[in-house]
Amino acid sequence: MATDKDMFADLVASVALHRDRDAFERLFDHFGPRINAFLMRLGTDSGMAEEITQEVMVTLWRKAELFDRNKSSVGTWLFRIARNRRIDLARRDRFDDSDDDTSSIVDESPGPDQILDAGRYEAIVQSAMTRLPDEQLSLVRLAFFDGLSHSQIADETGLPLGTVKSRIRLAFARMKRVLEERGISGEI
Amino acid sequence: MSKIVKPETSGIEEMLAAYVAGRLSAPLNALFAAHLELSPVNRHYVRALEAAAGAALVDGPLAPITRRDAKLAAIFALDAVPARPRVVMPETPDLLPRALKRFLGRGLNDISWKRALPGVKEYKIMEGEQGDVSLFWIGAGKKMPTHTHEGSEVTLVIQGGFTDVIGHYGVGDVAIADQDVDHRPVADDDGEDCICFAVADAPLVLTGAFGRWVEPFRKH
Repeated sequence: MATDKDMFADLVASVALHRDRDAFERLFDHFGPRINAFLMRLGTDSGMAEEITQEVMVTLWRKAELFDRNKSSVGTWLFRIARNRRIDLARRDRFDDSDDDTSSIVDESPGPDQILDAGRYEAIVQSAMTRLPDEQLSLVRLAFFDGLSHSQIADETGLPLGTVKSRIRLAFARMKRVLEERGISGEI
Repeated sequence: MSKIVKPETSGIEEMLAAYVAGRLSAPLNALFAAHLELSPVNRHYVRALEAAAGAALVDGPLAPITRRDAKLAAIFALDAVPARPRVVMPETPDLLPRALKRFLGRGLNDISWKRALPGVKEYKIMEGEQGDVSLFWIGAGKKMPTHTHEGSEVTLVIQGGFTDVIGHYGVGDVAIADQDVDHRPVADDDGEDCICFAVADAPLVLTGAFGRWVEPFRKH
């Protein structure tokens, strides 16, 4: 049985090969509102979040053939495009840099020399997270996935700010150690 | 006097997680992107966190898109851009990692350094809310003045290397000093000058006799 992940990758392939509008609409309806929500969690106002989301969707329509299912999932690919686009726009404001540099859209950042299967990364992160103590895991979720600041987390959990800071710092350090123990180490 | 404690973790793992999540300020974002270009040590960790973030996006909360049909129509009106062979512009050889070059809008060859101290040159990129962002050029074997920080200071080594109370840093390494660290980086004395990109989230507060003397000249 095909997983959701395969299904999304197939839809992107269909957009790339056949300019398949139905496939695109399904991707748009699934990911558009989620990218929009992700951007708003980062503090982007709703107008700008929708604008960036639309740019990400335009990229998906026009550059679908750049997606490589061996390197990442569709979710990860779109996540990175949205994240980088937002940062580029912030940078442009500051420097009034009008060059239309698309390099943030194409993933040019160096990956590990030895690329692991995209699905394996996810599985390993998930198993690494289950090995965190509960008190650290819940903070990692709030900080990384829900995007709360240290002080928001302190408010929400009732923990002192210093405790929040040190636990989160330790939790991520531990995550990295666990990944390394699992054979994901940076030095190849 | 300040305490010198070697922390259990420099905090780089958390900063990389913030990088992955898109939460870093523009200068720190550029710093960590450049770190990943220069050094392989954290690439797997970053890829793994990105995979987790991507998976979370797939099942994540929704914020509805307004004018959905109009937006789709606008997209379908666009032509696909055929994949074309990437035009590689002949780049002037430059020491700066691409991410820093993009952030600065220029390469190392186009930078006008200012002498900050004997043997130390500085190129100030910005000051203010985003922190103090500078490139430093430290002559081989030269010392930076002793200083602490009001906030943390994050430094990426681009060429050469330096040693502070925490340890030694080579090309691609990131040194993170928080306000408790009273450090005095010394560039490697191996004949090669050290070039660093530093982001301090508050103005440096210089300490020590030399520092007090220097400080007025830093504020202009």
